[in-house]
Amino acid sequence: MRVESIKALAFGPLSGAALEFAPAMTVIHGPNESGKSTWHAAIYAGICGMRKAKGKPKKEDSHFGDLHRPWGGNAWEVAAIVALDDGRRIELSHDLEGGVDCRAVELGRGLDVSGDVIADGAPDGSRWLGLNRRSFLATACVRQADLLGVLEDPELLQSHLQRLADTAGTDATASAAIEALKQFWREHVGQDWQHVKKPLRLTKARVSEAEAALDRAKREHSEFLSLCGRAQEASERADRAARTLKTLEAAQSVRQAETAEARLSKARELSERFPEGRPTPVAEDDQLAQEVAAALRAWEERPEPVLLTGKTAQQLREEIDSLPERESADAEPAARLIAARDRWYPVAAGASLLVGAVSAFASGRPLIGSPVLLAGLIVLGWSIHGRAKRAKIRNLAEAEDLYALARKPDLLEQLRLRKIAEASVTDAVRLQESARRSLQEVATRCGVSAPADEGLAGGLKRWQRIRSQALTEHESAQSEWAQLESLIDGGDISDLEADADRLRSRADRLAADTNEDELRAAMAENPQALLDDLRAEADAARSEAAALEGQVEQLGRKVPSVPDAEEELAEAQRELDRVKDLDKTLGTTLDFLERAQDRVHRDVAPVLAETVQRWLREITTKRYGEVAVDPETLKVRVRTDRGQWRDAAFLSHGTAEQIYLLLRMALAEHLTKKDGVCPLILDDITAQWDTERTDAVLNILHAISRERQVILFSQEADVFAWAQANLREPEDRLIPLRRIPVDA
Amino acid sequence: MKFVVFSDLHLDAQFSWAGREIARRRRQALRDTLTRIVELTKDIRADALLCGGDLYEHERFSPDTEEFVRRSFAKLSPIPVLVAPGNHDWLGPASLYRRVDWTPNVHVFEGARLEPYVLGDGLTLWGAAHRAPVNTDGFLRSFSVDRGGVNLALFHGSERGFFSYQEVGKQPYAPFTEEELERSDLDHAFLGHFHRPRDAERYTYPGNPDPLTFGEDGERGVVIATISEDGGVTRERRKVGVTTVHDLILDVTGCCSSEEVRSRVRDQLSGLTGVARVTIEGELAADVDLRPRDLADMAPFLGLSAILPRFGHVRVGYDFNLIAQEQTVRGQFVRDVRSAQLPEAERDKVLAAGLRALDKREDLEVA
Repeated sequence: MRVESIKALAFGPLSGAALEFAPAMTVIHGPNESGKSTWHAAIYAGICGMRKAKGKPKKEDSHFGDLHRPWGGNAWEVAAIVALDDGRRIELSHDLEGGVDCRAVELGRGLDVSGDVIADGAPDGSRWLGLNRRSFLATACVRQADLLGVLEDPELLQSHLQRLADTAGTDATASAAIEALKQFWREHVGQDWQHVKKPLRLTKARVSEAEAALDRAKREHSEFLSLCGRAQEASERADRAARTLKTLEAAQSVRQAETAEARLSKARELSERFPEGRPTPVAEDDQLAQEVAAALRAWEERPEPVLLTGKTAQQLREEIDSLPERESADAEPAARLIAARDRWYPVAAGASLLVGAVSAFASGRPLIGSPVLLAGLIVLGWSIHGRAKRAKIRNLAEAEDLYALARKPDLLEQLRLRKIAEASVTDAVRLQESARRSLQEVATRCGVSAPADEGLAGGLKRWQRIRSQALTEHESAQSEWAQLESLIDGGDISDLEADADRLRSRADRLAADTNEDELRAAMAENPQALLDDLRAEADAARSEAAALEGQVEQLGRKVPSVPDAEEELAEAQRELDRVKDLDKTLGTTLDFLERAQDRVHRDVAPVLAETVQRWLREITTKRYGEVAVDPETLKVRVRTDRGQWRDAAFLSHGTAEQIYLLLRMALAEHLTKKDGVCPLILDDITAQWDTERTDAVLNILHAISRERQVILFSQEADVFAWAQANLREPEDRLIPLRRIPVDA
Repeated sequence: MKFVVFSDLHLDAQFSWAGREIARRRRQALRDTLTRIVELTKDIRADALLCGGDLYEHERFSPDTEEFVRRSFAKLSPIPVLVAPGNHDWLGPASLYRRVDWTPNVHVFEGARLEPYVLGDGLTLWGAAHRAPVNTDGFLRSFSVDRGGVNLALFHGSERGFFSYQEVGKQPYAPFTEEELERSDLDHAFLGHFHRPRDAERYTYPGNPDPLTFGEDGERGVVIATISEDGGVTRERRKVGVTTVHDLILDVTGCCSSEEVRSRVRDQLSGLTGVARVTIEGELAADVDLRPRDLADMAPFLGLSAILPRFGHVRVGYDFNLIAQEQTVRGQFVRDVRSAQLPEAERDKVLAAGLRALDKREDLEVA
């Protein structure tokens, strides 16, 4: 690209002024206040224009405006005609104030090509060079301050190079950017190491804490729920027990009411029986009753005298006495007598039985006596009958003797028995008489009379019955009276009525709150037997429920909020995700930036070295012949003829400036796209140089201008002289400027 | 008869999308909404208030929610309040429903099968409860009414035909079909579970009455249902949510300063109330240092309870094509990043971070 002309329609102090530049080298010379810096800025603005984006202008744009807005009028306009490397000629017009009428028009065809180079709302001619407003300024425009900076701070040489190589013009370098990113990472991400207090570690810790807090919150809430459940179950159990207890109490109350009502009813009934009060006691005649009972017993048990038949004791005595004597008292009875005795023995036996029967009757045992009597008669009859028949064939006399002799023991026995029987009869008569007397006596005392003894006994028995009934009735009355007294228990019927009413009322009240079926079932059981256990159970359940409810209330006050914990975790996780995302972004950015830096520095280093190498011997009057550029740091070193390497930044001021210029040119070469050539616009760069160094640099610039347009602003007489001597129209041009009047 | 029907209030729900403070306000808003529902029920002299479940969240409820709900429903006494517990407020031993000493006007359905509750002469409301957080069978399976008159149902379940229209992640709890509903001889069912409202011929989903998240559509609130003698249902929807939630996209393309972005936010949110989530998208000028906090802090000045700014796909307004032409580290960086196989969002972040660093900017975190 070459700048053919610049037209300052309204730019700083310039109005309607124009400059036309030579294709190779143009030197614009003028004293102070001749507008050199203004024209320098106008060239920049004419080529690049100004960004027209909305919003607050950038700081450098504001500063540019402050410096170069027209001193009067509203317009701020500049235009430039440039020749592109493809042969096209473009007129760039910039309405710097309004930003409206800005365009790039291809001359000849009249074609608006603004769209090809529009940047931030306005055409930017530097884009044909692959540059932008900032990089064009940094690359093509070399100002005196740049050189002065290098002189004042040798380190700036390397820094300038880096800035140009890294960002083409900003005051930042890739190294600084990388360091800034690393610093930012250290502050906003940091290592994930223990004890590190940086965001990544802190947010991870926060997430861990939040997770733990959430676990704790969930656990405690779960415990709370579990406790609630237990409390609820205990409460329901207590309710059930209370309900059952209530039912049973109601049942018991109903029973009590019923009992009280029964007692009342009984008391009323008893009370009605004793309108006169306590029953009159029956006369105390127990002795008489006992005597009556004894008399009746004696009467009823009196023996009945037996009517004795047969021979009396007297008669038997006499019969015995009438028996013959024995032959000898000691002699044994003759065998014939014994045989006779044996023959008569059944008779004797029958007789013995008869005696026994008599004895039994006499002793009042007729049941025994009767069969014995019958048996005796049968045996005796049978024996006598047999003896009678045999007696026909014997001698009756002998028989009679023998018989008599044989009968004597039997008769003695009969006598003994007869005496007993007769004594028994005598006793029975005596007892009978005694019983009768007693009967009659007590009958008299009892007021019982009858014509016969049996009548007296019957009367006395009636007397006994009447008395017994009276006694029974009295006892019953006494018992009932005692029952009544027990029922009223020192009070009266009204007390029982009140008690029954109270109990009924309570029973009704309790029953009203119970289930009818349950109450009925409870009534079937014995409530009292269950009540104690149930009360204990209900109390225990109620106590447990109360205790659990207390725990629930206590735990409820401190149970952490689960949603709070969930939200804290979510927020912590979001923050961690953000930091991790930042970590990733910064890491990736650093990685790309470091690799880009390595690559560009590696690429630009030989370009710089080659460019400087090409001119180095000439500008250093052959003191330095070789140059090396460190691809990592872009540090420039030069080697003396003696082979010593020296840091270019620490060479003499002049040499350093010259090398700086060469490096700027090299970078312009490097930064411009391959088919473009970027002009060099230099503003008063020789101010600090002596004539020799000025000439040397101008010579180099002149040589460079064969390949690249050079526009040099200067106020130095040396430069003017050199220009007059060396510049040749039409390739070169010297444009003298005059001081701009103050009122221009 | 006239009922107020609601469901899915989700008291004590968590709001992970919000910060803690906003989340707490949201939970308070849910309570305020219940208060409004109660007031509405009284104001219109409804015959009953019906809740189709998920009144609260069992796993999260705070102890004072018990007293709050008790008092709220007690205020309606003697107007009946009928609740059919859902999967989030399932009826268990530790359930709030069991713990609260309800006033007599409150009836909580406890059965696993539909049970009748006579609401009036000839009008029976059948209700049932979820008794576990999962695996509740459909309430209409093998169910049919056993009486004449008008028969309504109240439960928490998923109508299968409508399920696909629900939000992602919704599970088909206690499912049923319209055919089952038809066979049951129920005149109408009032339901909970689906947060998206629906007024079908034979059933009604009121939807969640207060916003739980962003992007909730449909007219959510309570349903005022008027039941005619022949079982016909007339529905009127009422908004009762005390706050609204807006989910907006803010295009910042062309904004050259954070003030311009704020201005756009102001324009877009003007007149809105409640919580607004603003997703920032578009191309933001390279120089703009936009921090979410700058936008969140605008809420009180706009009458909003909260602004939740978040960055969508925001492209930083560098002219990457132009920069890529530079033979500088910067240009190389842009070329390398653009040619790398990075996801678009990550690529843009890396480019912006690198270029900002090269511009010596301090806002190196790109949202």
